[in-house]
Formats: sequence, structure tokens, C-alpha cells
Amino acid sequence: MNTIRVKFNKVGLAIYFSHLDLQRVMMRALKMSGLPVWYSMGYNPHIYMTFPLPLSLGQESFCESFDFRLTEEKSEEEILNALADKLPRGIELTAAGRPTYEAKDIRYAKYEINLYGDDEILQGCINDFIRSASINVTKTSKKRTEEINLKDFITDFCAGKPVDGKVSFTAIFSAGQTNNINPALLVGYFAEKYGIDANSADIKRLNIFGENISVLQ
Amino acid sequence: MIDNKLKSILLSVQKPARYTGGEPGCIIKNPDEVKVRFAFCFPDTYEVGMSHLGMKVLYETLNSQPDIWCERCFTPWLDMMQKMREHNIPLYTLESKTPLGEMDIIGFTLQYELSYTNVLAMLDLAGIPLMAKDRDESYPLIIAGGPCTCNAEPMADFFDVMVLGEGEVADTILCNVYADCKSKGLSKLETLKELSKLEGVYVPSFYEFEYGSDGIITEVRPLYNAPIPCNKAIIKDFAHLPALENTVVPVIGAVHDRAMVEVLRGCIRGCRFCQAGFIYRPFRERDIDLINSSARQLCKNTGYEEVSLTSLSTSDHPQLEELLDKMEPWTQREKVNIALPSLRIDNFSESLIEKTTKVRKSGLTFAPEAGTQRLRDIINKNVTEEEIEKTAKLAFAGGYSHVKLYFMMGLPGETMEDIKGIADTAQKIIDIYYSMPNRPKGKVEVSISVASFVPKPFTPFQFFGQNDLELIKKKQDYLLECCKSNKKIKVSYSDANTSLLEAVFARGDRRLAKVIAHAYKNGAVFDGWYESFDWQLWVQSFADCGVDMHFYANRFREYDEINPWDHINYGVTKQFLIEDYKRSQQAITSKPCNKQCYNCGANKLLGRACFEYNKG
Repeated sequence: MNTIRVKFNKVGLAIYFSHLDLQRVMMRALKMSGLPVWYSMGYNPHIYMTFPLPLSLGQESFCESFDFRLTEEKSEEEILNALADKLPRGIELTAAGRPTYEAKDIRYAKYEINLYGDDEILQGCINDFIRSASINVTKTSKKRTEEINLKDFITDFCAGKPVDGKVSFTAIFSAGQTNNINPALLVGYFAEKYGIDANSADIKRLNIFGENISVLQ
Repeated sequence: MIDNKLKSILLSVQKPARYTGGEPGCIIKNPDEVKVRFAFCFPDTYEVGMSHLGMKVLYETLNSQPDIWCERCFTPWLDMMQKMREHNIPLYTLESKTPLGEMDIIGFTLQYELSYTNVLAMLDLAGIPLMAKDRDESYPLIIAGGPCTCNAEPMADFFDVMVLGEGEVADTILCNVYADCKSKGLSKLETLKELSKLEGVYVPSFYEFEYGSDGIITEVRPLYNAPIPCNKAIIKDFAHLPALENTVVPVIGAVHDRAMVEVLRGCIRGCRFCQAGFIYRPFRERDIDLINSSARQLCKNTGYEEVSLTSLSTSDHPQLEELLDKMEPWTQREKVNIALPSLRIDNFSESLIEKTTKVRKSGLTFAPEAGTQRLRDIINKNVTEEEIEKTAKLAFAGGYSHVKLYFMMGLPGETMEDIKGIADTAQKIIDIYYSMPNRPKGKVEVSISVASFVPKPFTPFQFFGQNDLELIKKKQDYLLECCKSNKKIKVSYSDANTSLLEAVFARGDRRLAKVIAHAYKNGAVFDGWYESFDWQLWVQSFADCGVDMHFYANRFREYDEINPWDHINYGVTKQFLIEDYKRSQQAITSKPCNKQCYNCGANKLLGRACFEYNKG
């Protein structure tokens, strides 16, 4: 039995469905693919599948992946071809192969974020982030609600100049099983403080990293 | 394309993927290479519409034509509706995001009376005038199909064309004739005249109604040689009608999210309350090899883990067991569950349970419909007490511990004894559970779901006046009283106001259009959803328009009265309906169609007898 990791992008129309929906989509795609997929042995046999880092609805990603198991050896090409036309628009497969890291190895994720609004206001957002010692937001999870300083969890902030009502910046956010920070928190902070439209912002996950921002291939 | 404005809106509403399309199986064509652009509109939410087999079938059928591109559109939920209005975004098709106004044909399916205001909301959101008479050639042709068109008079003023009966073939022909008229540059009136010559096409504006001083119709006058009666369209060779092998698979799920194959059409049973049992006559079954291969292909193409063998009464397929045997090897191997949604108590067998519960076990639902034998005979639900008991035993022995029972109240000839009979039936099933030494572990639960009876056109009960609200309330209270002592019986019933409104529209006429439009303008929408159904708004709308609900719902219709649907021919004759209603009054049952023919008239649609009665 081989564990296989399929890497993919979630872009365009695919940003409008949730992580839960994505799981179902992949489940069906595997079923349709005709690949020798391994099923759990329980009373209700189901395909064993894991996703390392859930992506929020509305965000794009160029570094998604999921793992499943095959009962026979298959080449990358065979796997990708078998899945290719079974997916919704906006799910683009990029690679398939043996996993090289575990979900718990993920520590950081790099995002590109575009904000839209008045140039001057957008510049204000950027300046605020750079100059403020703390960007306090409320983080809610299933378990608890807490006040956090986003600056403690964001590094490598790099912004351009606002032009024609748009500003683009990249930053590396703490991610993974502990201290997972959703970049929407930062966008939400700007929206609340400066009145920009949070829903029009583009949030793109570009890459994920391990300990000390090491590249995870 | 989704621009920044739409994106921002989508991310501010619930379940945005309802409005984006792009699902696996979704069909994209080049608009420059097709002659007809068709928007198939389902007047309810995405999740409801995407559960509907008819829509899936027509989507694939129309798109199998290279000249036609059929796209989908659903009613935006209240949050999206509000946002679209605020931002002036016209309602668009999911596939290409084209505003509905740019389509050639907009087709609505009328499945349910309380989705009528959603039709108006969709036209309105698209910026299209509601009334057919207010739309010239610059607007798309607005058409309707689905079961409600058998009496869609309440909606007649809003539509240019209605398709009666089975749309699989009729819709394609309609599209082709429309394309032809368009290329010739015909006016709307000339186009409608051409379309009215087609089988199953009803042009409402070609029929004029006269009413007497008592409000009852005195005459229906066809114009421009429109056919009277207007016949429904029918598929004569249903046995070999190709079944779905591909379909759009919703990413966000649907209410019924599974592969579906229609195994038979029509019904042999003749339950007197059931409109579907009459308007889909005659009974025709599909070839089992065709069903088997289509089901397999459909599961392969969609990845669904469950295939439903749908119909009005699946266990009436003469070769059902043989079909299940044929399906067993591949469904087992590919871990596909077979669902049989419409089983009858009287032919539910042990081997059926075994064959359908091999992969996964689900709940079991039966519909005795009435609580006593006398009333079941009146409604011609030919199910006996013993059969109900036998089935309950089989179900419990087969491992089920939850049983759901469907009943109706307000049936013709019903007394309080019959209401008590509902509770007694449920109690008996619980007693059976405890009497069984091999009963499944866990808690037994019997849910009884009680709907208020709505008399429908083209049924023997079309003459019957619905119980008024007061009487229904009394019956509901009495039922609760009867079940109060037993916590293992769960009772739920439908909202009586909703049923009254359904009854008004079901047997309504053209004069209701103004009420529907008025109610819509005052905020009525999604009336089939309890979160948005506003009874007082409807009461006020009827009052404002000076229309009496009781005239439509609660009045007995004399046999010689001209009903709003009498000029429509669904095969079943009025004479037969009268005879069968009279039989019901004496609690005389009718045998299933395959045992005895009562000359309902539906066989004339086929041009042959429905069954070979002398065989064996």
C-alpha cells in the first residue's frame, strides 16, 4: 500500500466552495478515476483521505495537497490523468507522488494579498501594519476565543505602492497545527479600521514552509 | 466571468457556490456556435433544484443537440436576492454568467404550487416584465413545464408557452421550431402560432375564458385554431428511452445527492388522491438491461456512492428482482449502495431488504396514507392491516429500528375514528417490535408524518372540497391527544395554511395571477420555506384583490362544472374520474391497471392497450 500526495491549485470558481466540499469533490474524483484506491475496512467502507492545511472559503491557493492510499503502484502521469477531468473548474492538479513531509511539519504559509479601495486609505493600512507594534485582533476557534497580536505571527511583510485603487503585499503567516493564523484576520482588521471591503480582497496562499521557514517540497 | 463586484457579493452570502457553476459535468459551449440559448430555471434553491431528476434529464437531452446550449439558473436565496438588487446585478445563468434577458428561451419547471412567487422573483431579478402580454420580441420566450402545468392557469398570464406532459422530446422540438421561426424573422404572435401546432404545447394566450355570475367558468374559447383539448406530450417507447449517463455533480451537495435512474413511468395503482399516479399514465417500464448499464455508467461518471432506482412505485417493475441481481456484482465491487425510494408495503419482500441493505443500512419509510382499512379503501390505497404488520416485522428482522409512516388527514369520507386509527397503526408497529425475540438492538421509534390532503386536478378527488382550517386543526389536536401517552411515537404534520394555499393554486384559474403578482410585490417569495412563508401576507393579498380562497379550495365541484383544466388532455377522461370518485364514496377499491382496465383513457395516448390482459 502506497500513500500518494496529490498537489493542486484552488483558484477561480473553486474559491467559492468550502474545505468540506473540497473533501467530497476529491472523494468522488478518486472514485471516478478508477484508480486502485484503498478503502478503510470498517462497517461503512470509505476512502481514506487527509488534507494537511484547510483553506478558507474565498481564498486562492497555489500549494494545496491531499493524501490517499493506493493498493497498487501507479505512475504520477497515470494518477494525474485519471483525476484530471473529474474535478470542478478551478481545481488544477500540479503533481502526484510520495509525501516528503507530514502535516505536522508545516509551520508557515506565505500569502499574497490584494486590497481594493482608495489609494490613500490603502497606504494607511500598509503604514499602520509597518509602524504599529501591535495589531490586535480576536481569534476564534472551535475551542476558544482569544485576543492576539498579529505582529507576533507575521514576518517578511512586503508591500508595494497603492496604484489605481489596489495595493498588493506578501507576508509569511504562522500556520499549521499550532498557531494557525488565517490571513483573513489581517484583512478583517483593515476592513474594520479603515472601512475597506474585506470581501473584495484577494487572498492567495503561495507556499508553505516548515521549521525556520524551510521549504517543504 | 466573475468580476470584483460579484466576487465581493458572493463572499458576503451563504454558500456562494450556489451561484458560480463550474461543477464536474457542467456543460460549456461556444455561444457563437449554437442557435438556441436556453436557460433552464428551477424556481427554488440550488440544492433543491440539483436534486431534481427531471432537470438533469432535460439538461443533458437539450445539450445533446449541437445547436442548443442549455444552462441552469436557480432562485437566489434571500440574502443573494437582496444583494443582487442592491448592486443591480441581473439574474444570470451559472454556466456562462449571461444575464437571463440575453437568452432565447427561458424555461421554468413548475413542480410545486408554492414556488410560483419564485418564478416571478426570477423574472423580476432578470429585469423581464412579469406578464406575457407586456413582453415583445425583444424578450426571451418564457415557457413552463413540469407537473403543475396540468393546471397552470394561475400562472398562465406570466408564460408565453407551457409544455404539457413529457418534455424529453417535446422540448427539443420546441427549441428547433423556435430557432426556425427566429431565423425567418417571425413576430412573437406568428411564432406562438407555429409552436401551438406542436404536440404538448399549450399557448395560454390562445384560450379565452368566460365566467358566470357565480364565478364558475361558462366557456373556454380557443383562438387561432389552437387545439381543444390540448394534449400532453408522451414518450411512446419509454422502455428504450436512453437514461442519464452523465450529470452535473454539485460540489456543495444537494438535498438528494445521488445517481438516479428512472425505472418506470406512470403507476398502476390508482390511489385516488395521487396526481402523479394519473397524470403520468400510462404505466411504462424501462428495459432492465438499459437501466443496469445506465446506472453503472452514471455512477462511474459521477463518483456517486448511491444509486436510486426512482419511480412512483419501484417495486411494481415486473423485473425488479432480476434487475437487482444484475446490479449486484458491480455495485458490490464498486461500493455503490442501491436505494429504492418508493416501495409498496404490499410487495416488499425479504429478498428486497437483503438486496438493498448489503452495503449500507438506512431508515425505512412507508406510506399507509390512512389509519383505517375503510379509509384506505376509499382512497384506493390497497394496503391491508396484515401487510403493514408483515412489513414491520420484515423491517425489524432486517435490522431497522426506525420506521417512518406517512399519513394524510382531511381525506374524503374521513371521520375522527380514522384519525385515531393513525395512532393505533403506529402503536401496533411498536407492539410488533417488542413481540419479536430477534428484534434489533437500540430504541424503536415510529415517526408519523401527517400531511393535510390537497385535492388535485386529474384525480378522482378533484371534485372534493378541502377540509377547512378549523376542521384540520381539530383533527390535528385529536391526533396529538391520541399519541400523547406514547413517547416512542413522534408526530409531525404539515402546516394547514400552506396546504390551503396549495389547494387554491392546484385547482385555481387565471384570475389568481393578479393575486400571485400582488403577493410577490408585497414580499411573498420562497413560500414553500417555513422561514419565509408569510400566511398573513397571502390573506391580505387575496383580500386586496377581492379573490376568495374558499371558492377554489373548499367548495365541492359539481361533475358538470367546467374546471380550469378541462380543456387540457392528460389522457385520463373526466368520465372516468367521476366514476372512480363514485366508487370511492362506496369504499369500493379499483384494481391495479395490470389486473383490470377501467378505461381511464390513457391508453389512447399510446394507441394500444397498456397491458396484455389475456397473457397467462
